[in-house]
Amino acid sequence: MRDRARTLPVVHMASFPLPEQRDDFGGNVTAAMRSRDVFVTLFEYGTEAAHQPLFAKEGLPHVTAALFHANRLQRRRAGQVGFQEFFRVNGRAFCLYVVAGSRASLPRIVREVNAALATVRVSEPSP
Amino acid sequence: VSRTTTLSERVVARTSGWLGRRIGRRGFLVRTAVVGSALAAHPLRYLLRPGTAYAAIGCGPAASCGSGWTVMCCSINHGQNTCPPGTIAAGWWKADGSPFCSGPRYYVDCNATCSCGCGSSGICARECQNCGCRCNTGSCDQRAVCCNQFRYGQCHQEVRCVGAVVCRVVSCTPPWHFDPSCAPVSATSNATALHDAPCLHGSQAAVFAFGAAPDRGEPPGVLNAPIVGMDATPTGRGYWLVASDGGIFTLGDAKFFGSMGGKRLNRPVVDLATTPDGRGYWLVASDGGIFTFGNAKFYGSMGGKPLNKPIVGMAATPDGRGYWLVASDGGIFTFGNAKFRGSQGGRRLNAPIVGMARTPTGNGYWLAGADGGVFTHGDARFFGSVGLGTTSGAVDVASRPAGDGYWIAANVPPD
Repeated sequence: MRDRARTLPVVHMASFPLPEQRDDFGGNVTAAMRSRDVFVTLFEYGTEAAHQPLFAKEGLPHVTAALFHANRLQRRRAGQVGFQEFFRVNGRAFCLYVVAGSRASLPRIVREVNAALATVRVSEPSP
Repeated sequence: VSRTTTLSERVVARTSGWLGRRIGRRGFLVRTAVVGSALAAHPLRYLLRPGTAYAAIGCGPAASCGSGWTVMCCSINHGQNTCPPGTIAAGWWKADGSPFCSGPRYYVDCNATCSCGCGSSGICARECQNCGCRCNTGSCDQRAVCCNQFRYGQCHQEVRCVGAVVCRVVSCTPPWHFDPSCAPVSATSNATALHDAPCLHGSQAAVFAFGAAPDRGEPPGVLNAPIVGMDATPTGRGYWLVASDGGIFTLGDAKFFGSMGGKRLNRPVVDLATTPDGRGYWLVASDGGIFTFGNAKFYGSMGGKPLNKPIVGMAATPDGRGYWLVASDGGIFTFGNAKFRGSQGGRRLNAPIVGMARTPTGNGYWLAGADGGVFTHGDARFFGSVGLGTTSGAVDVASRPAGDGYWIAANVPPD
């Protein structure tokens, strides 16, 4: 049914306190980040999208510092760098979006993000 | 050292004089804003002060480039609240509680397409990026253009990679209702609820006359669709304006021979050309479809044929027995007795082509880029180009047949 918007699960992880009301990709929270902070969004697009070329990569991404860039942000902020990847897991389509407070903190942030992603389990789509 | 005045300086000088004769609230605010920004005449910018006019209408919060947000499409796309040539809708989000809509307000990101292959993480390879990061100018909407290589991801999921976000389309209608490529998976960013631009609230036509070109005014009031093209009558005492919905406006001694206004169009109209005796005209749509009126004859079209890039302009041959169409990548299509004199197709462009004009002999033509760049072909001579921003609101130029004056048509914010 295409008449109504569908709201699918969104996971937010951060190294700083998040407000109760927050934009899905953090547009209203990244201003509060310190240089050592990180903000992570795991955004779902559903099962219909999982076969599309945009989501061709299989499995949760492994993040590396080289993938981060200042122009990969939804909202550009001085000092911050970002990373975005589309992928599918168990027939469900996702986007991983990570904002790092500074490039200098990336080695630690990358370790923390990968550690957090290792704990994520994506279930099969419900019938 | 002798110094010739640039076209932009001459235009601004003429305009300031013209303003002195016809000053009014709309006249002053609107015309100074448009001309000042369109022609980017830095020495005279203090006279024209474009920011003042637009600021009075408003762009909402976070309108500076440093805010990190992306510009509205209508601010850089000749007033049109649509994805510009060379971009595709790549995703959308909504803002709740926006005063501009009774329900959610929707924003569609128009991302640049890749000129070749993909790089990492769904973005064009570096050598395939079509646009560079810059700040918009000329309007209070000074948000960024092509700076954020980010994708919301609900639209055109069949496209594996795109370039940076060029601009945002804004609507109170859900995107999947007007763009079938968009999935109805909701993303929210309430931080953008108050973002605005004057061009989102309709536009009015403005025509600037220079040299011997007489001032015949413009259609009054807010238009249903922005002006996209104009052409002069054979006498040089009037002109036609065409809007993207196919509506025709006649000024001076221009006669009405019909229009596509109110009729269903597959794609928006992008330009018009008139027959030599002024008793007819052609309209062309972005898919290359041709509509004939009056004594204009049909010599073929690109309608229904595959195009690499959309058609953006046309010109008729001197005897009216043919015409050229030009696409945004500079590709030229000839019909009737129009001869091919070269194109920009396949060459790297700094900005997309937005229009064309033929020489008096018909043995050549000029192609104009959105950045004010001019390309000559055949017997067309290069007389210089102007630093037109892509933000100007100026959409077309028509010259008098005698070559002693010309008009510039623009879309400007409403009163």
